[in-house]
Amino acid sequence: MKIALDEIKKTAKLSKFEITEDEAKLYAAQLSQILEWMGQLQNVDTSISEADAAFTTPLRRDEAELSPSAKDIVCAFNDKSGNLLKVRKVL
Amino acid sequence: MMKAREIAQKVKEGNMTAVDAVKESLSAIQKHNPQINAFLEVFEQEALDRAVKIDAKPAAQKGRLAGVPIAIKDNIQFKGHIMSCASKMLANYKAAYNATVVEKLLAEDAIIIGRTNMDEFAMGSSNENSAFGLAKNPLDLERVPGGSSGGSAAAVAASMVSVALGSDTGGSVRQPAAFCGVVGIKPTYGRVSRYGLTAFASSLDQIGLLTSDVLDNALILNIISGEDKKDSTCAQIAPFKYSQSDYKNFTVGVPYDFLIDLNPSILNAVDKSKDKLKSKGVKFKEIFLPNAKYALPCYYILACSEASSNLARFDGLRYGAKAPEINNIEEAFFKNRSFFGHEVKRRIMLGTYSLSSAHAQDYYLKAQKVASIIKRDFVKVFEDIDAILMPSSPSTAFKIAEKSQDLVSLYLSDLYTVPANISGVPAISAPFGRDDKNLPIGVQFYGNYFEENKIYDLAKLLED
Repeated sequence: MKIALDEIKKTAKLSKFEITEDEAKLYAAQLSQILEWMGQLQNVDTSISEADAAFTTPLRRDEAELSPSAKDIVCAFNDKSGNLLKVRKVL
Repeated sequence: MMKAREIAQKVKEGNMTAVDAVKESLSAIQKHNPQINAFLEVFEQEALDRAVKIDAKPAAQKGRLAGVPIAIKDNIQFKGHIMSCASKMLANYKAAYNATVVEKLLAEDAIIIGRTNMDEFAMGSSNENSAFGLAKNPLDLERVPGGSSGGSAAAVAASMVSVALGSDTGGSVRQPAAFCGVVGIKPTYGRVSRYGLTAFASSLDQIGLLTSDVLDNALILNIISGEDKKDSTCAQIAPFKYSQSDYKNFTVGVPYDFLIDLNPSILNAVDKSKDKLKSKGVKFKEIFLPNAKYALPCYYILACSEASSNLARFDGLRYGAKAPEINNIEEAFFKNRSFFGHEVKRRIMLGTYSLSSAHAQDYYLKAQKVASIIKRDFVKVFEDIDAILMPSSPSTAFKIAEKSQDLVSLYLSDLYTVPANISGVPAISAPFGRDDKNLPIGVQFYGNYFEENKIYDLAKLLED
């Protein structure tokens, strides 16, 4: 299974990665090798197997609980003043 | 380094102080860590301060892990401390809450002494993918400690601590345990809460333990296991409690059809461990796992697919590393995500590719179906036996950079560990024998769902 350079660039874009032309070539070669190896799964007869439902998630009662305090969350920010958090301009 | 249970008992009885236990650990870390790089950060002063407080408690109020220094892998949240996942992406990220496992350890008066090195976001089998320099194998500094919980395994092997937490998505506790000659368990999926563990592949991730012996391992699993309403995949059953059972009634299977082309010294260790167990009265039965060889490619498709989704949250907008110059939001995503290392990018792209509409049928869905077949094989095999014996890894610790250019060969390190994650059953790696280079060999026991007790019994028989 060989991946074309265009397909790698598209996959990188979907993954939100900026990659150079050289990196695209490297990843194309590496991913081709890995996908070729993964291709052995096609040898398994899965005609009688269905994908199991991933999980049956047990549900708990929806009750209000204390979450980490604002102070704890604020501590994750490097640049702050009181409860004001400095975020970057993104628009 | 004393065993965790010995430290706790002595501290509780007043025959040793928690401060001394911490000092002993710190002194081993100072001595060995500069060469081994097992710890990314040591919480020296905080550990000593906490030890003083524990020493001041009356004996009756001291917890079951009073004064025991414990290392945690750098993908487990410890409130107020950096948790970087050995990635530049989270180099300055501070945990805002404690993982459930950390809460449980602290409640028993354990002392979190530092955070250990790992492959970035737990993706790797050699620790070479750490953004902060790899950890080295304490038994041979030219070799890798295994991965991804390589720092945790190295810390225990070098007697810096007697217990370290790791996480195991495809063998990340058991393979480094084998490479470093320590005991490592991946409990049944759902046995231990994953709340506060950075998600890599949520359907496969499980927090595990690295210790210097089996009894310490069983003791700590008792403390960290049990229901947790903060993790809906955590099983609603009581915490694990170890008690020695009548192993003479055990029947163990060795899947020789899965051990074809195995390195002779490792096959020899499997056979010798079988002989030792037989001499103690354990019975053996021939079993077949014809689809186990497909677990590894199946794993890489599923784990990468889940990772591509789980790691989408790291966009640098809310927390994590930020690129200096950004003009718009699209650019922010692309520039901020450049802080990921190569292996993480490769796996996210593999996952994105496997899930993309053009390929999902051939990769993601096919892998899900194969996983179902593998799971059913295990359920069926465990109808007749109590445990499966096999090697932990196809090789002993390899040299640094030996496999870094051949990705598939590196991935094959997890050949014998991955089926336990795909099927969700518990598995333990225990050191047994050495190869011709005098490197430790790990043998592994798989147990049926929630039957950790039996695999602890078997691992303990090899230890005695």
